[in-house]
Amino acid sequence: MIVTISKVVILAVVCGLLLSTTHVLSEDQIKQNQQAFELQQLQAIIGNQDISLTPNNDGYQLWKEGTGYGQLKLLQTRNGYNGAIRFWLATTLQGEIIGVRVIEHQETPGLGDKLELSVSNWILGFNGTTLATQTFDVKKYGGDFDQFSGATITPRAMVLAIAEELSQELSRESK
Amino acid sequence: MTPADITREGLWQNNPALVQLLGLCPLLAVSNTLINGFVLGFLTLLVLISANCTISLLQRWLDDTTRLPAQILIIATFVTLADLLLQFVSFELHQRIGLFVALIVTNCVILGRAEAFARKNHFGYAFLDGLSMGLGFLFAITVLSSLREAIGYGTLLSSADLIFGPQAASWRVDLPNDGILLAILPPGAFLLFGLLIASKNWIDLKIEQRQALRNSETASG
Repeated sequence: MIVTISKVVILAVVCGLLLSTTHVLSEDQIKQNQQAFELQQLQAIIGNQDISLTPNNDGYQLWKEGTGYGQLKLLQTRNGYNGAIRFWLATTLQGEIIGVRVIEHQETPGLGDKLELSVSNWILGFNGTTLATQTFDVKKYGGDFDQFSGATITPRAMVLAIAEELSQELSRESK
Repeated sequence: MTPADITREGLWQNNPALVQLLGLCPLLAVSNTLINGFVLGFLTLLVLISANCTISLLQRWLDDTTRLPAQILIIATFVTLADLLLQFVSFELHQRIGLFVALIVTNCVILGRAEAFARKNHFGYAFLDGLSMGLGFLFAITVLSSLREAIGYGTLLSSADLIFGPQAASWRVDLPNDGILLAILPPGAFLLFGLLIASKNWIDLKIEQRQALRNSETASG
């Protein structure tokens, strides 16, 4: 019995050593890959190489030529069709949207997934908009943003979530 | 069993996906594009070969009582290594299919081959069995994911650059057809997989008929 158990323990130790060695050897490269991947994603949202990012407590602070330019925040809404939609929202200090990008959702493929840039350009329609110049709702409800054919809940959830965040930021700025 | 038998079994006659119907969870879930399916199939192949070889080498050393946990431990170790390998090579692809890489542990093909073959056979045979069964699975998932990408998105080899480097971005083929949504959704995976099994059986039937015909000719002649 003891022999049997010790064999499994030895095997577990060997497996553990093998994994930790590989982990230690690959850790730096993987972390580098991850950071490069994330930075590439974030830069693509802003679409401007002159703007640099520094992490702050709820996302990133955006800087242009050393002065504050705006912020990039990870937000989510649960008002979509299925589960949470998580997205990055980049805004200037004046409350203008620089870019929006959905990073995670479980909306219906073919209907609700037009949120993804790889599926449709819809998400780019937010670029340059502000609360002052646009009505933040889908057209069906009298707003300025397109719904998807066959899916209103998904785009409406996004539009309203963004509007809420924009108004929060405005009230924070005015304080 | 001769080495030729082992190869034929894994690739065709006893194909893990098309005949044994094992490992369907990753097969159906990840086969939405050719690159996703191919990479998952390839990682499964690596894990299957490594697990088969290791278990064959340790067969005398393991007791019957602890054999199963030990095999799972070995398989899980290789799956974690494969997971790290994918993160090392292409982090973006790992973001897409990483969940299913971890689930290779639960792919019954691997434990099945360990139990049914590797622990009773020599190292060389176990290696060959892992290679053929792995290639059989890779073949099935590659065909299924090509079909689904071609029908569902109207493309082939999109995002090849994630794994083969930037020059592979141009490998993408745009087919004349528009995407048909059904093929990308889970029901489409089941339907196409069913058709794939049917085609395999049809080919087998044709071969059998031809052989029967030849036999009767030689008998009468």
